[in-house]
Amino acid sequence: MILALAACLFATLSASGCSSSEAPALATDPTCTPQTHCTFIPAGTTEDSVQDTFARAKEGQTLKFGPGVFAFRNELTVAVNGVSVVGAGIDQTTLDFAGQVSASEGLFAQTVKNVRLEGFTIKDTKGNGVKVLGSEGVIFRKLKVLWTGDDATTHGGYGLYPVQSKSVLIEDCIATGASDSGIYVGQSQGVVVRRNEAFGNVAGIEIENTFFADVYENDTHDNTGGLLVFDLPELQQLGGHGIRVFDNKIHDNNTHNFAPQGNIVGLVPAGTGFFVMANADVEIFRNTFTNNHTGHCAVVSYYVSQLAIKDPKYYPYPTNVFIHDNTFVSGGTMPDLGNQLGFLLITALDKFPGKVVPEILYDGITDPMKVDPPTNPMHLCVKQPGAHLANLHFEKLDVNKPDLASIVVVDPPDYDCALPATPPVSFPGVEAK
Amino acid sequence: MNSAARALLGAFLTSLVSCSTVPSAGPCTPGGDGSYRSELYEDLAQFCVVDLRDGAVVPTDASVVPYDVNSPLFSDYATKARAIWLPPGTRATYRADDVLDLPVGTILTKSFGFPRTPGARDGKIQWVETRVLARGDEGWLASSYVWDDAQEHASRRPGGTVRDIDVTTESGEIRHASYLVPGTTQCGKCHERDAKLLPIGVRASGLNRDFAYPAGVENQLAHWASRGTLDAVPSAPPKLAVWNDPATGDASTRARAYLDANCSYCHSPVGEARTTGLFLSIGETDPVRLGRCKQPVAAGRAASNLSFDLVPGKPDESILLSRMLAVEPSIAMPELGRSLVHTEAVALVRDWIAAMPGTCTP
Repeated sequence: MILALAACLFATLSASGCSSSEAPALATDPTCTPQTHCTFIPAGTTEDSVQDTFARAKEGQTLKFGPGVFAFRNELTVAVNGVSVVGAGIDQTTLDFAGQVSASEGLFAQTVKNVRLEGFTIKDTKGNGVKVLGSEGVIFRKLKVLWTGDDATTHGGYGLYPVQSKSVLIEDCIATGASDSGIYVGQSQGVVVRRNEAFGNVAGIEIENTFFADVYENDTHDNTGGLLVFDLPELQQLGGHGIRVFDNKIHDNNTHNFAPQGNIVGLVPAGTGFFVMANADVEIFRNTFTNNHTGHCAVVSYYVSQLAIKDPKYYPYPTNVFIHDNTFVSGGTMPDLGNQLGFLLITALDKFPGKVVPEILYDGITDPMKVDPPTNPMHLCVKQPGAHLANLHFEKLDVNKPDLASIVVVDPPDYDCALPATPPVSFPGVEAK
Repeated sequence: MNSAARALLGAFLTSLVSCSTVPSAGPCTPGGDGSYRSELYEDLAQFCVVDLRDGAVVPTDASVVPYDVNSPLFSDYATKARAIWLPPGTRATYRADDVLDLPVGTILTKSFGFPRTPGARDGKIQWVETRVLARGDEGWLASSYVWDDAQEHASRRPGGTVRDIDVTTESGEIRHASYLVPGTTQCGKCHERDAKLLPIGVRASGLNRDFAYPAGVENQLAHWASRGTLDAVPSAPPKLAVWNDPATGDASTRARAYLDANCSYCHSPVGEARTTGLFLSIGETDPVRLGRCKQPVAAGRAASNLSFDLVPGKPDESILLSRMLAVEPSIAMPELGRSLVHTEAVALVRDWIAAMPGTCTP
């Protein structure tokens, strides 16, 4: 009786039920044992059992999925410090949320310290792939997030989505198919995004309302917009600054914008390589921009969104932006006709050298309180020999009778300057690059 | 049968059920051996707070107080039974507009069930789970306990589960729910405020209503005060409207009460939805924070091609209503615990938006 009871207790702990039928033997992993503070989750483990393992995870524990496909109806949540969720590798371990009926994220972590997610694929979540909120010491490594639904507008918003977090590392990941952004960092501090590939999203990589981020060696292609750095109003963390974007390949971002209406990225023209909006202290260097049809690199204020600003604490102008040593290859040849900004650029093509949109665009909207120097009060500096810059002078644009060609100025001398280097980002486990 | 005898019988019955965890021996004492203050028990019976009898949730001891709230959280039309137990000699401290300050050792239970015969809301209830929220030595602890089919035994299910259940709406309609028994790691999604787990519903405004006690009908706050569960009650404590009782307020008041109960635990400056800037507690007065002509921030496709959270006079252009009407998990609000549309509440919120004066400009 005692033995039976004990066996049953064990069964209750190790699996979901109390059934007496023999389950098929599941694989084991000799490196993942209680002695190594690791719980192995082999293929064939039921969702209830996986959920139980996650819920009983102790601080410092590793939860290791074996190779295989694991299907979920509910999200997976990490709620204790120091937990690592590890798989056998991209496309080796797949967490499949096609049948999700509860919650919208695939993986969710909130208010934890030192969470590591590594080596697996997250597929077809109803909402965001992985969301980490209010956490510190966050590692996304070798993850792939994808959506496979035929109708891309039904895909989840964000692939990898750390928000209000500190010391965030996103490396060697792949994000594709997001109806907003493949990799989206929001309202965070101390962020490194490196060696990732983002394609087939509306925005490949977005850094939003964030302080101190290094974004480098990423390959962002075939999105609507490749890489976006911006600040939005009405959020708890405002005033994004201290961003370096370098050594990235930003190419062929000409995918039709499939973001739902009401989303700020829905305003991005197809064919956008990079833009910075309303951020301060941004350095963009050594990137290679290739074949982005609307434009490679733009510096704009929030006013280009034409949305009203109701937040008195919000600062809508880009400030101290330094663009240098980038390589630009064939782009700006075919602005997005279906987009208001793209259409405006087309109307002014005759004014541009070679009838091609210049590599660098500036909306020209400046803070009236800033006058030093009067011709460049927001301190936009560009050192790009051979590349062209257009000041679109949107401050003069009559939205009811827009005539961009009459106001645009190509290659004004005002922005031939340099700014001090933006300091690199480092935090425990990540050295400054 | 007294509680001790019932507990004995329960223990006996439990021991007959194969594959159960260790039954408690002898009469039980509410709170059990007290170890739940560091780690919740594996078996609901170990708390000795509530049990099932004849399809009803019953307190196991006179020190356990059942209660109701004015406007509850919608949970796929589940019938709910709530109870609170405080350790002997302790009492809650009254707070006007926040959760009552409950002492260490407090055990709150909330049981969720559905009519055994779908369509018959007044019939017997099949209980699915009892959620426990207990104030431990280091803070609040939470877990769900899932009842077996025989309704004899509820064991801890920290990972939660999803159940397919035919449920009965308030109008008597039968619908199929993917009912969520939440995992403990999901508790924080609703119950976390400023990074701490806390109860949600145990507040004066929600408790300020009558309850049919065995000795007669009495206001819950007054009852709690008179039995020493609560330290004091002011002469006119705040009162949340009952969302579906027109006698308790006009449509606007009741819609705000519904949103307070169903949304504000996340949609507050210290809740999980703090990043949205949309705050829906009953005390919120800023129109933009309440969603009026407010653009969504990171709603993604959940914005359903609409521009503002609330458009005065235009419920069908308001994201807030469209998300109440959605069941797709990435669009539906609240995010957790609702797989069905709360049709009756949608009608109320629709009326409220329709009656709102003004317009939005882009």
